[in-house]
Amino acid sequence: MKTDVAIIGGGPGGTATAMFLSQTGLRVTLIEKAQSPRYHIGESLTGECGNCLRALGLEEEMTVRRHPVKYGVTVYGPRGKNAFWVPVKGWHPESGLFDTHTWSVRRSDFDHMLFTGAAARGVSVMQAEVVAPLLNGDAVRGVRVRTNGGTVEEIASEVLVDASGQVTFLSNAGVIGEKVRGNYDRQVAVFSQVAGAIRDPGAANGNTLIFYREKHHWAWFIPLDDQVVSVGVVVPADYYRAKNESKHQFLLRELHQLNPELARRLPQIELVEEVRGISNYSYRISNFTGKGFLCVGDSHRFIDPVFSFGVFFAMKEAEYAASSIASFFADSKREQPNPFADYQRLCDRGQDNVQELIDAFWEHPYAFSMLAHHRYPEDIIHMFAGRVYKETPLPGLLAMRSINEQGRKKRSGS
Amino acid sequence: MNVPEVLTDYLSKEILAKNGEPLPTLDQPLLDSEGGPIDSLNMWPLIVFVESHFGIKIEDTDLMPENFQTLRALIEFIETKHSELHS
Ligand SMILES: Cc1cc2nc3c(=O)[nH]c(=O)nc-3n(C[C@H](O)[C@H](O)[C@H](O)COP(=O)(O)OP(=O)(O)OC[C@H]3O[C@@H](n4cnc5c(N)ncnc54)[C@H](O)[C@@H]3O)c2cc1C
Repeated sequence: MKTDVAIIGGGPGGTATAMFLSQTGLRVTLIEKAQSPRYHIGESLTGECGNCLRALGLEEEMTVRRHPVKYGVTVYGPRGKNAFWVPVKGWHPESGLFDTHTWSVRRSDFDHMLFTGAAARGVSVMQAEVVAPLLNGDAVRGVRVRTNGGTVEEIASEVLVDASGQVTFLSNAGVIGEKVRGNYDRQVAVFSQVAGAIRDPGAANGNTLIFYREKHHWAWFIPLDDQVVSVGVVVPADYYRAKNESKHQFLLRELHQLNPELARRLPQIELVEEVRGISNYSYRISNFTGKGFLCVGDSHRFIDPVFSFGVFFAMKEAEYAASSIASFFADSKREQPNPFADYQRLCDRGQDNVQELIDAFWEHPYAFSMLAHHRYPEDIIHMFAGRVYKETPLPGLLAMRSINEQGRKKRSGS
Repeated sequence: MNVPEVLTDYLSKEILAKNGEPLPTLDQPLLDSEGGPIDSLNMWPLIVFVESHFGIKIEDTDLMPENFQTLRALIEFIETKHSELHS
């Protein structure tokens, strides 16, 4: 079988790439191994992620499906006091910042909406596992897939999009480099969903809450519908090991002890999902584009879940990837050594900028707080929303960069 | 200018009174990461106060824990900044 673009993975990265490409008239084949809907973690969306959904014409569907509306994030300090509110704000070149909203989502529903949406827009979707890349020298020219029934089939493509998430398919297959551990690699996340949690009243009841205990020890609280809230605890791996508890025991105890404000909101804990855990989720792979392929989302990098950038990166990179792929097909010569080098630079810039934000937050909390509250509140609001691709860096970003650099120098010097 | 007095006055009224905590001695930890009363969310009003009260400019890269670790460190930091300004 032959296609213009083959996409591995039916998460937000793969489905959004497929949907953006469906507007170009190219033949697109999306291959997902799991049966949709399937469970996934990653439920709170940034402001600009909301705009990716709007760009795909999905705003009304998000409303109809009653995904909780998110106006911002409240971060509670260690003693449950001194909360810090980060509103979701849009930006207009003439009028500046304005109030807007995004959503939080139950990923099984959300990803299924995107998956069926891609199919409805003319993308061929296929339930099969991609087992190997087809190579021609250093160029990728397709994939080998195995269907549920066990039949093996080859799909030839002009461009392969790896959106396989944490599986990092092309890296595993040795087509691109190996995973390099990220700064937040030595962490464990344990999570589930609860009913009966106490939420903020009125319009605020869909907002995301973050509870900070100490460096690298925090919890999330993300409404998924009228009844259910996703809760998760992130801790250093050594701390988790030392507790020597089952995931279930660990989660229940942490939810009570981590932060008084979190405990207040969970008077009795009724778990309505399995307790799951994940570790080693922070990494990057440096050269993730080349002849006949590019990576989107978690398939090349994931930094840290604290500010909910994962789905945003997957969908924003999908948008950039689709436009880069469209230009590639429009170019009759196609002689560049790497037709997707510009796309890669753009992705790196956005992710590097978010890395600065997250590093400053974890490594320099006092400085970060001063920048976010007093010196550059607007710049920080832009960054939290996901406006992180501008060529000229914002002053707030430059400040974080110099603070991080000073910290790195000090650490390597001492 | 009496830096220690102004600082202890601010800390007692603005931070410690609210949390019901005693005033740290000159060398006890000030920052919550070491068990002190100042966390990242009441740190910035303190900095804003220090800048305006003493008329000094604290650079972004000065916002490092070593300058705020103890009352003694903070007093020294402010006095150095102040003398740089007037030298
Ligand atoms: C603890 C934790 C909390 C998080 N919280 C948030 C949050 O609040 N908000 C947020 O935005 N992000 C969050 N994230 C990040 C988010 O989960 C991911 O960034 C996001 O899902 C990435 O989307 P993706 O499309 O790149 O990959 P995925 O969503 O992982 O999709 C990849 C898909 O590829 C399929 N696949 C893999 N291999 C193959 C193969 N060989 N053949 C066929 N199909 C294949 C998989 O089945 C999967 O469906 C969190 C992450 C962690 C670890």
